[in-house]
Amino acid sequence: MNRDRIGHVYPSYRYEVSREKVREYARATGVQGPAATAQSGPVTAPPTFAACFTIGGGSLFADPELGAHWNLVHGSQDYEFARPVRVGDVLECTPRIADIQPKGRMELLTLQIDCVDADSGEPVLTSRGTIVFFNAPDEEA
Amino acid sequence: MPRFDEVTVGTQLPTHAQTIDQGQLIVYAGASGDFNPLHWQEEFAAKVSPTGGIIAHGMYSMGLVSRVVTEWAGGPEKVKRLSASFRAPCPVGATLTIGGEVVAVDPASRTATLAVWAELEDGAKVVDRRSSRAVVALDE
Repeated sequence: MNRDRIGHVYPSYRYEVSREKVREYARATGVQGPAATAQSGPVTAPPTFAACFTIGGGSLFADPELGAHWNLVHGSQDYEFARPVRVGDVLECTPRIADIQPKGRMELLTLQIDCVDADSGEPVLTSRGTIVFFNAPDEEA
Repeated sequence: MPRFDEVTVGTQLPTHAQTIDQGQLIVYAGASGDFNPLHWQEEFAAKVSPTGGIIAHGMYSMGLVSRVVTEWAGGPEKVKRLSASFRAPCPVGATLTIGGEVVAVDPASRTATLAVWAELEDGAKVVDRRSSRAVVALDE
């Protein structure tokens, strides 16, 4: 991949945290309590609910200068919270290529996504995901 | 939920064992929006999967870790940081055991750092305890 893209910042996108999506996620992962059941009132999302708006790599695959391909696995994921994610939040999420490192016949790309409260601008969470790209399709025999 | 002074290095979280079936992965795909066919389509998985078959989303195993940590800590707002290093694939039909152990405590911030994991019956590290961590805030 193109290591000149290290540091590149992609356009921000907005994610609105809805009660029904939090409920669906909570039930899918066996979470009990308000996230799965509350019909009204404040609800805090499960920590890994952040997967719903930080996983997928859409920015990377829409970038013609990067050279990303689909021969990949998810290597690691790290969520650091300045405050919990809550139903009703509108988050503004900004992806950035933090690193691209060769490792043998693989390349490790770290995508950092900073998510802030769209109303106040206050930090909410930082996502750091490492994607392991195996040898690119055009390098295969 | 434990209080800060009840927690020491070596404190173990209750473990949770779960056998992974295809239905869970389909429900998770819909809930998370991750529709990679590696997690639900046998023909695709046969071509690209490290096991030659359907495997669970890494983020599903991390979601199960998140649940175990959150239940122990007393709620999602207690979790300040959660990281997972995905090492081994988790095939459909395998049983994952999720666990955690306190590896550090910080009196100044009243937080505990946990090593967390999700492992198969043969010891394969789906979420690798050596490099997967949770930081949780605890009440006095």
